[in-house]
Amino acid sequence: MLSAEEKHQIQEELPHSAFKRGASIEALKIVQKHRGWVSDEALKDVAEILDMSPAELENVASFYTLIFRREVGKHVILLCDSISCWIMGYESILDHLKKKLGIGLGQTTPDKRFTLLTIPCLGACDHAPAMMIDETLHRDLTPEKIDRILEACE
Amino acid sequence: MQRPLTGHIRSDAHPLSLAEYEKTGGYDALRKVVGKITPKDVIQEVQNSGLRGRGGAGFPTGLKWTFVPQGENAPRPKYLAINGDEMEPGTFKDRLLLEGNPHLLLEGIILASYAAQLDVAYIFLRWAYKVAFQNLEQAIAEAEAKGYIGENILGSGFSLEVGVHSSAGRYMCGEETGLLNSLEGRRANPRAKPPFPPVVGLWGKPTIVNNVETLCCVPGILSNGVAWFKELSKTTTGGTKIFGVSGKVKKPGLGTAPRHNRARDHRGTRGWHARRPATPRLPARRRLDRLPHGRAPGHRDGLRHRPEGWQPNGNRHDDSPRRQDLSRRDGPQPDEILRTGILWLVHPLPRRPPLDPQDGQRHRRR
Ligand SMILES: Cc1cc2nc3c(=O)[nH]c(=O)nc-3n(C[C@H](O)[C@H](O)[C@H](O)COP(=O)(O)O)c2cc1C
Ligand code: SF4
Ligand code: FES
Repeated sequence: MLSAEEKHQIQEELPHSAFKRGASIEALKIVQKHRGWVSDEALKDVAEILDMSPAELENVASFYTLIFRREVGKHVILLCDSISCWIMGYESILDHLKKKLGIGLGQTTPDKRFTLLTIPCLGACDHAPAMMIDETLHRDLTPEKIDRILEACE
Repeated sequence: MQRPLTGHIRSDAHPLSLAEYEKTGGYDALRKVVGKITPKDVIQEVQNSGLRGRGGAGFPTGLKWTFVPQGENAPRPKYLAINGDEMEPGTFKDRLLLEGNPHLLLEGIILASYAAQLDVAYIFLRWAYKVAFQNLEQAIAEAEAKGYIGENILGSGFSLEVGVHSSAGRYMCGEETGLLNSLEGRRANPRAKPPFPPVVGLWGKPTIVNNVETLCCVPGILSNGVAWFKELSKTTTGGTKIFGVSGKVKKPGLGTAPRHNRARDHRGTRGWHARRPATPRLPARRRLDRLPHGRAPGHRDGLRHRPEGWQPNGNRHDDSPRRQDLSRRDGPQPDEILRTGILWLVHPLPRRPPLDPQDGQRHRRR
């Protein structure tokens, strides 16, 4: 069941588009913002609001990289692995993150605090290497900086 | 060296407010044009400037706008989709414009919408551009409060709605028809062309897709004139180009260059000496426009059909390989282009003159 707040926010998106399905990505993002990811049940509920079949909406949800259809941790770390970051030391940054969190790519820490993912270019190439945690961009990464950033995440 | 698009952007990362933007001559073009000059003349002015798309394909912007059906029977609403997807790794030029001077883009959007008589504009943003998203929403609110966006803009009878969409991350969203599918809440698969978006686009209605930087060029053209714009570069198509340098270089960042420049013209300036190979080799031709390197000039004249004619979906198309020269004086008519479909646009690279066997020099042909 979607919460009243989620439903309300989705309803607010509908008038911005000529047809309801035009709000599907926004709607999925709203659900994800509240729950961290989009479960099968949530997907069905959203599809109903948008007059789409669950299969149609799943088709959309599974296409986009930033709609999570599996449970993720409280904070999702998106580390850029594109060319400029790679040149500027992506691999050592990734190693540091893996060691620090004790998980591999695509995995979530046992305490469900962090999920570690890679992502193509964040558009911060002039301050590579870069990563995004939730909605915040972190640039010019060094292992020390990463330690501080992770500590600041609750 | 003039930097008409980025010259006023503050170095402290704060966007220009509406008032600050107006102090730099912002919204002058809007007041000069909307309701005072006919949309047709505005398009003509942009065509005369030679402005070409900065999103990669380099299509003449004014010409694109003429493809939108006009008149009583034209389908409504008509849309403008602003391409700020910018997912190409190593590309971050639109971010600067979006974050630093959102009103410049908004003014470009209003002018383009007025020229092509469009009703609704959607700014499509790369998912990671959260700051740009906030700055744009703020700027839209300011412009609405001033009556620059909304119903009956400055009493001209022209109305425009502007919204921002943040992508959910997929490279293909940057392709114009993929972008439209994404705005419709579908997978960003590209559509077969023709029909082209200016005739059948978002929700089947006429839609112009333009890049952020392209639209940011428009206010300058209309307030300072065609001659000014052409002066910015030695190419016949005018204007400047923003390009990014990143990787192992002393001073990564963005720069503005006249369109005729090549990266080698900049070697050594601004500390862009490579410590190691600075920028990756450019895998695709379209990137030449974004990151000029040694062999890549700005777009030149002579847009034409590729003789053998490929369709965007990879099929060959046998009755289309007629060469079309868009720089022809009378030019092919818009419907002529739509009928044959522009299959592939090539910008001929300059040929180096051959070595003269007599003296070993290269002589330019007269
Ligand atoms: C795979 C692919 C990705 C593209 N990505 C972008 C992009 O991120 N931003 C952009 O402005 N144009 C992109 N384009 C080009 C657009 O299709 C389109 O030509 C452009 O947005 C038109 O705007 P313009 O005429 O102002 O350049 C892409 C094209 C392709 C084929
Ligand atoms: S053609 Fe290949 S690289 Fe381009 S979008 Fe399709 S799958 Fe990706
Ligand atoms: S390559 Fe990493 S942010 Fe662009």
